[in-house]
Amino acid sequence: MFLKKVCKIFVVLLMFSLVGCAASNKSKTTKKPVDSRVAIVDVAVARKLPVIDVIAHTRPDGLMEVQVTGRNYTSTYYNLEYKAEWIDKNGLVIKTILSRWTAFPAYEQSEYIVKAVAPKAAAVDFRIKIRKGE
Amino acid sequence: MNAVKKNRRIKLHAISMSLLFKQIIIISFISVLISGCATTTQNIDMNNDRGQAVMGLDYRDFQKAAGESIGSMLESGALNKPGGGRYVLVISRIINDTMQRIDTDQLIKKIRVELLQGGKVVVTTAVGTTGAEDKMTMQARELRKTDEFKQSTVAGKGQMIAPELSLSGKIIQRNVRVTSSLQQTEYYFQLTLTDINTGLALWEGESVIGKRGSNKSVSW
Repeated sequence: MFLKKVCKIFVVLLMFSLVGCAASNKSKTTKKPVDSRVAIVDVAVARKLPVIDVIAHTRPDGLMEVQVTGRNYTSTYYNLEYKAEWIDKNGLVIKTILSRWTAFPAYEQSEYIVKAVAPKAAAVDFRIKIRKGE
Repeated sequence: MNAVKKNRRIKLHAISMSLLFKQIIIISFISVLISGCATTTQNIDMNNDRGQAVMGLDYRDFQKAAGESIGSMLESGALNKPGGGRYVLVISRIINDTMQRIDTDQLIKKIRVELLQGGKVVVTTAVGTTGAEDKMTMQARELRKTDEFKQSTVAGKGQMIAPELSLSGKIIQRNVRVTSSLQQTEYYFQLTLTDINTGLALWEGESVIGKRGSNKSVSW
């Protein structure tokens, strides 16, 4: 009888501990970036205006096209800037006038979208940086 | 008697020393003030220039307009030649309708370089609105008349390629008075890409740059 009680208590404790572990694991999980090729360089901006989706494809004419979607969870309008760098098959950065800080709006409580087209068909990969504008 | 003279000499020396000290302080103060007023020259970080905007057009505005135009052109697919290959582009008239003295090449050269490097277009310099952009193309052909040149190295007849596309445009300025002390200047960079064969515009783009500032600053 006593052993049965001890067993029951042990099972209940084990269940609690398992649930506790699961919860603590969940809380420790850090939110992974949607695409490692897109980075928000300002920590505060990354928290408040995270990137939620990245679409990249190569068009029939050979040019790579990228669309980054983020969301402004705040009630403040943000003037953001992005810079797209294009990379060829050897991993080398393609020098282009299109790789410059370009302003775009992130309206309050809305999604923001950045769209970029590669300057030449040699671009097979990309890096996009986003920061707070002036 | 000697002691009185000595005292007077010491006093005079002390007075002259304090005067000298005052002079040094004043001179050093003035020199600090002057050096503080002098503006030091700095190189601009062209890759991340967050310097103050100007009412006129500066290199950042041309970069922005050129970047937007190229991006829009590439996105539209207007430069994709049916059947592959590259279009031959000629730069037509770019009108400067602003109050500023602008060399329109500040805008067009950026676009030309980017399109050429992108492999979608080659630009001809043998044709232009005011004659050939590079007159040497024709002048070199005059060497056909002279025996001094090996004729097989002289450019042959029927070798030049005629343009298929023409890039024309206009830069417009509009000044608006906002208040008695505030003005607004708008710049419009308008470009058109025309198929010379059909006369139809394949692509058109406009970039607008707006500036608001003091009435005292001039935008020309």
